[in-house]
Formats: sequence, structure tokens, C-alpha cells
Amino acid sequence: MKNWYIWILILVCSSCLSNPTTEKKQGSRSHIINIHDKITEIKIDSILLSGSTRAFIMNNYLIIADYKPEDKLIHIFDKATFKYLTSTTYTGQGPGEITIMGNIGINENRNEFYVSDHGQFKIFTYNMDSVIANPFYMPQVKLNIDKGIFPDRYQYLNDTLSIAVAIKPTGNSSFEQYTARLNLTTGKISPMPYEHPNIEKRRICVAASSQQKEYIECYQNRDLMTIGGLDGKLKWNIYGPEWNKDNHDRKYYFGGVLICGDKIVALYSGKNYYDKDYRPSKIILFKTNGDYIETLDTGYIINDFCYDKTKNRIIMALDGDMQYAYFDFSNIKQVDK
Amino acid sequence: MNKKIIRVIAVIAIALTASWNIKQSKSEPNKMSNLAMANVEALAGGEDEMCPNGCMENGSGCLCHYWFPTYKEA
Repeated sequence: MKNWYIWILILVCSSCLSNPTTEKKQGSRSHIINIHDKITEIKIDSILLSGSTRAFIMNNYLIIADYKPEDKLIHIFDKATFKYLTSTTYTGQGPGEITIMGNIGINENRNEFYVSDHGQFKIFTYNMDSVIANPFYMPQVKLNIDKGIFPDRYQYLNDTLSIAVAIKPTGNSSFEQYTARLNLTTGKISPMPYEHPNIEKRRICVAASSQQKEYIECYQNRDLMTIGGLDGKLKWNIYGPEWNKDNHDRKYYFGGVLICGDKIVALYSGKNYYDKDYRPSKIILFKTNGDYIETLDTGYIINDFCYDKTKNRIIMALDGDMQYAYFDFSNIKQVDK
Repeated sequence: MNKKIIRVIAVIAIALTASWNIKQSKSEPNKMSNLAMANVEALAGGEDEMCPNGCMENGSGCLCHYWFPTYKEA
């Protein structure tokens, strides 16, 4: 007992060590900017799109994947003028057809995109120049998908590294999700070593950047964003204002995430998962270390989004009368915190 | 004698049919059956007893035998 002060010192030091700087709590995200008037509609008159589409940018093109198509599945537009160029691929099981279309991976260096087929358990390679030149273009098989654990959405970084949401079925309808490293040459999927210890059911979306050397994992069912290095090591856990609420399994938080230059751009809802309009209408901007910048309130329900880095522009697939729209970051006054 | 020949032909025909079927199933191991293909929407709609909860429209992914990337877990 004589050296009690030493024990106190050890206790204080250990508590400092057990509260590392990886944990960041954001009690309020209250800098909200209404950008409804800064959103411009993209009029798509040449083809009929369903209400279930996703958008991707590849070099000079905007790719729209239609998951309930009237005709073909994949449509190509000029990304600067939004002029319609061509469409490719029918639904089906025959040669050149896709049964259940999944993610589209973008390889800008090779001018190729990769379309997952969850019915045929394959990923197909499409060469953009050939798709535009040849209306009867037949894609090549790039990879067979393993039924035991397979990639859903992923971001292509290079031939041996993509950051993916991996799906591991545990029954006919039950599954687990992981953030994983995907090798598109071999098909190997390696879940990231870090998993948040307090979450049992993970429903996530991911983004990654070679430039920032990090991946982002956002939770749909928790107000949490995890930022890690591409080596899989945790950098920060960013806890939102609703992290501690008990009703989180009924709530829907992050609906998608992108890394746009030096910013993390995340779709955020905070609404009840079982409501009809549960999808996000807000976009939260963070620095790449997770620090909050501001919230952009679009006033539209956003199904999906992508980033055009040459125009510094976000293109959105919306749920409503306006199907596609965009806004330019340069038109939005940002707070430099 | 005729009966014997008919029996031999029948055995050969059955063997050929069986081997052709095996070859077909090996050559396309991942292809959905026509029945499964026809039932894709029904499976996703929760009309399959093996997948009772089914999947709802407008989501970020749902498993019902197959992965449906734009459906929502019920």
C-alpha cells in the first residue's frame, strides 16, 4: 500500500491506452445545407428505364444498369452530354445473356467493365469500345463465382485487389456480410481482419481508394462508419448521433458510400427501414479521416449515386418522377472545418 | 432371338441416354434450371416455402436461393 500512487499512475496510463484515438464520436451532425435547387435533371428520353437502376462512371461514359428492364440490361451514355449511345445484353441464360445481374466493376485503365451474374455464377468482361461498335457484342467469362462466398458490390482497384461486400450464405435466405479483399484474377475472397466487436448482424456498403490507401465500411443497420487501411488495419470507427439507440435494427442509416478525391461522400437516411420511403435523401460529407464536414439535403429519395471526377459532379438515380439528376460540388459552398 | 436383340438395343439406348444426361449436367454445372429461372420472381416474392420471408422490392440485396442485388430483406 505504500506505493499506492504508482498503482494509480499505472491505472491512469492503462486507461489512456485502452481509449485509443481510433474511436470518434459525433454527437451531432447539424450543419445541413439544402441543395434541392442546385440539382439538375438528366432527361433520358431515348430509352425506357425501370425504377430499379444503378449508375456507374467509366472514363467518358455513364453506364446505367437496369435491373427490371423492358429491353436490354445495360445502357451507355456520354457522361458529359448525357447523350444515349447504345445498349447491350438481354436477360436470359443463353450465350451473351445475364440471368440475375449484379454489380458492375469498372476498370478504367483497360476500358472494361465486369458484370456479375448471380444466376449463372459468373463475372463477364465487357470491352467498352466493342460494346459501342458492335450491337451483337458477346462478353467473355472473366471468373466463375464461388457459391460458398461471393462478391456483391465491389470497387475495382487493380486486377488483384478490389474491395467488396462479400456474401456468405448460411441457409436458403440467411447470410452474413463481410468487407473483403477480392482478387478478380483468381476469384479469391479474403475478409478484412477487423470487425467491430459489438455488431452481430452486419449489413454494409463499402468504398475504397488507392490514392487514399483506405477502405470505408458504412453500416445500413447501425449509425457507424469504419475506416481502415487497404492492408485491413483499423484506422477509425466513426459513431453517429444514433449509435447508442436501441431501435437500430428497425432503422436504416447508410445507403451507399463513395470516396470523391479528399472527401468521403455517404448516402444517409436515418429513417425507419419498413417505411415506404426509407431510402436516403441526405448526403453526408466527411474528411478522409472521418471528421464531419456537412450534410447536403437533396429533398429527393436517392436509390444510387456515382462520382464523375472530371466534372467534380455527383450523378444520382432517384426514386420519383425525376429518374436521374446531378449536382456539381463546385456549386455548393462548403464549410472548411 | 428377336427378343434378345430388342433387349440389347433397349439397354444400349438407356445407357446412351444416361451418359448424355450426365455429360450435359457436367458441362453446365452452374446453369439455373428452367424451373428455377421461371420462378425467380416468385422466389423473390416469398412464394416459396423454403424461403418463407421472401424479399421485397427496392433494397440493397436479399438472398432467396439466389442473390437478388436490388431486393430488400423482409
